[in-house]
Amino acid sequence: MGKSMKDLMRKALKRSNAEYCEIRIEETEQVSVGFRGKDLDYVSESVDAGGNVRALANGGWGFVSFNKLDDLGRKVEEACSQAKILGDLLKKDIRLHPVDPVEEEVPGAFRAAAFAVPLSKKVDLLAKYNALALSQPEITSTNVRYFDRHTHLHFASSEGTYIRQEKMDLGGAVMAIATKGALTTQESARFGSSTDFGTAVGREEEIIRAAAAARAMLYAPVVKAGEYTVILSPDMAGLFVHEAFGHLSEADSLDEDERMKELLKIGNRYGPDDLDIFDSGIEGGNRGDAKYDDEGVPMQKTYLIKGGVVVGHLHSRESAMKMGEKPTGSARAITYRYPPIVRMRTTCIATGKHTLEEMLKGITLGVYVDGGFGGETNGEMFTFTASRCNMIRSGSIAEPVRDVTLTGNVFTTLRNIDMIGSDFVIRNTSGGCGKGSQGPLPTAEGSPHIRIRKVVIGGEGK
Amino acid sequence: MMREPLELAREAGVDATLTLEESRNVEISFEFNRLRSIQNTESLSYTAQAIRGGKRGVARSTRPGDEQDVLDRAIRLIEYGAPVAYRFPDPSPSRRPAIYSDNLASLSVEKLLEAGNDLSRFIKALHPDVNGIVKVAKVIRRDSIANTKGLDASWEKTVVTLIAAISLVEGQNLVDLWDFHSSTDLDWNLDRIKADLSFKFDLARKNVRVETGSYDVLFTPRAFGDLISPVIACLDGKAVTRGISPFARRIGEQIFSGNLTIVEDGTMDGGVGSRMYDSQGVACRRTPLIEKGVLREYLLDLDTAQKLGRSPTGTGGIAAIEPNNLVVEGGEVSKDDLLRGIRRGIIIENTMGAWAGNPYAGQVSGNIAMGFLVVDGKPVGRIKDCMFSANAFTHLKEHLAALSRETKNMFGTRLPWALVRNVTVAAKND
Repeated sequence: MGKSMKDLMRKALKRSNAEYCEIRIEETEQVSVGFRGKDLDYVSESVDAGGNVRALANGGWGFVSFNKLDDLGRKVEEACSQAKILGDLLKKDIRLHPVDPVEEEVPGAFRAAAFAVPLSKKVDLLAKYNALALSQPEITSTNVRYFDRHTHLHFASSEGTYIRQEKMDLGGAVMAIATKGALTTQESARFGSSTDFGTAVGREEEIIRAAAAARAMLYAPVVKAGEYTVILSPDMAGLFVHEAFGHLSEADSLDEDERMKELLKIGNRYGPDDLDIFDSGIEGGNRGDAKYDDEGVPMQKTYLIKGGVVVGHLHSRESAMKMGEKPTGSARAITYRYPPIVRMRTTCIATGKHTLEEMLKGITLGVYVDGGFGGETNGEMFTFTASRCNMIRSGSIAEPVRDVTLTGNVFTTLRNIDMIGSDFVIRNTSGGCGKGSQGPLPTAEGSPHIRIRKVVIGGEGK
Repeated sequence: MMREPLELAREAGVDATLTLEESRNVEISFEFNRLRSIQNTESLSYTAQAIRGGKRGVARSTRPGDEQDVLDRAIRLIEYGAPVAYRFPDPSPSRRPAIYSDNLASLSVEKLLEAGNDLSRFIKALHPDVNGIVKVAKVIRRDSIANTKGLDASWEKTVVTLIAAISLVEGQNLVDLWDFHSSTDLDWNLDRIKADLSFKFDLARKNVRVETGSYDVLFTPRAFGDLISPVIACLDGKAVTRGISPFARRIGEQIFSGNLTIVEDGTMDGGVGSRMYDSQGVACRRTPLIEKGVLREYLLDLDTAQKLGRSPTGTGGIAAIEPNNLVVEGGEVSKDDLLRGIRRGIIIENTMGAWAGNPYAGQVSGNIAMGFLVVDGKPVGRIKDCMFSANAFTHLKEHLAALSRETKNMFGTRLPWALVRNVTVAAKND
């Protein structure tokens, strides 16, 4: 199939009369299993097959996506024609950063392929997790979700590149739900991988911990609103760096915005001397890892901050050319229905030197934040909601509190990081990142514990 | 084309439903005040559900002509599938909502470009450094559903969406505003969008301080959507049957303020979410959920209706309950009068992160991404670095002062402005 698809795509590309043209053809098979409470909720399979053509002419992008894969040549002509209509109106000089043409077949390097595991085994595993969660004290219900995807992706460009990649993506969450009177609380054990079904196995202790946390939240008071020194667990610090700095580093929101470009200029200081932030698609096994991005550019590890100073950005070929930097393999599309845009892969705060005990010392009143429901940023402000929190009193982790939501100005908050831990962890879950209309895209985050001063926390009035 | 595989399934003793969604979409994007791209999308998707021996299998495919294969796979999955106690329904008549517009279907790309250009030029004229983002999209969609009981229906829908966003960085101050229009007919009003954005843009560039405390808050329809989202989650029949919704076994009880009426209306004319049948083949209908604060009904599919001994509400999906159009009915007062009645309070225009959290506890907290301080009935400037926190269950019962008579269509919900008292706002100290 690979060879004939390559020939079909190359033949179709000959009908391009644009400056640049590319075709992506994708076929994904997905298995999904869900439990709610004691019941198996669904077992489903899907096949998502389709493709797109993207063309650039005089600064105008044309994009056509489709499910019918016949007559690719006509789709190429349609995208080129759209690009020219736009180009005639724009008359702009948009160029793509040059990359060497590649011809490569990249078979999946899977440690344990999820698609090779019988469906009955997946259903049994999830049933066992569901029963375990339901057997915990005061757990009244569950929401258990699992999916795995197996994708064959073909990419060909008018520059001579042809890449066939085989990818896998899997994720799951076992949510334990506790109810007491009118109050319901919940906490999840989550997992994800791009190479290993084994990550879904052996989650029992985590499920028991999640159930205990949901139960503890039933008896926890709502946090008092105000400004606190906070310590973020590695999970939450990973979410924080994704929301607070990762999105800002995506250069397609900087390349034509002089003010944002100035704020994110190489050399600007946004953190302490020991703050390093990087984004990588090649760490191995994390959700979103791949050899090539959706423009056929090799993924890499990109430092965004080193020693507290901005040193890089995440790029597509277009944004790299506009900003005079190099592409970073960060152009990603959620499916063939969308063009690639600049996205994160695995975004991390690098390991520091402090222990948790050192961070706690000296905090009279603060909040220890662990376990996240999710977060969001608008480029200036970030916010995220935690699922497990404790007050910090006189240097010790004290009673649990609930309904903790944190917010702050991205730049101010980065500057307010005053300690970075030595206990780095990468977090893969079943969730993902949203940007524009493309979400959830598989991503991961990593960090040690971090301590931040002056964080606003929403909760009950004092 | 869907009848033949269904006949074979019926002969094999399988109860089955097959749906097909086909759509054509054109989207024109402007970024940094300039035309950026045209995207054309043609898509189709089959979904098959098969029940035999009290178990259900589900399969999907986007391969053209895959109806037989997708149904075969759903039948094969029955072996592993979820237990169900329902059968797919016999055909019943459904009202055909007015959701297709010839004018919109035939609207040319040039006209879409013209509207986008108009909004983009307007935004550019607001400030020399502003980044204007405009999207204009048109969708023509056809839905078909058939089942082994003889149901065979299809309907078409047109939807146009306009989004106009302003982004301006001044120092470390980001002004981020947007407005939109979505409709099944060609009835956009660009002047209204411009006037609204222009007023807010001027206000958003003037920062004012606010102290941590409890405030009267006027939620715009967009922000009100965040506040009522736990209510919608708890009206979901699956949350009720699992016992995690605090609304379980409370039909007929006054659970909210008498000001609050929420209706699910699947066949509303002009409703972006309207359709003839839900994904299980149940005819869509109008169902009051909360009537003057009294709980009247849940959002139910075949499964949850059967478990609760009630009738399905035409909101059945494949893996979840799918409301069609959720309408919060407006009140008696204009939104301007609601504003005039606030002595010292806040308008929450847009929130950030308020969707995250545990809906079954009712707690809604988020950053006030765009909010304005109101003094003596007038907005005086933007508040920054602060969060709001409210509990949907208690605030909509005890502190919902009034709803505006104007409502806004919000992609499948229609919401008014809402004046809510005693909302906690946490602000930065320095």
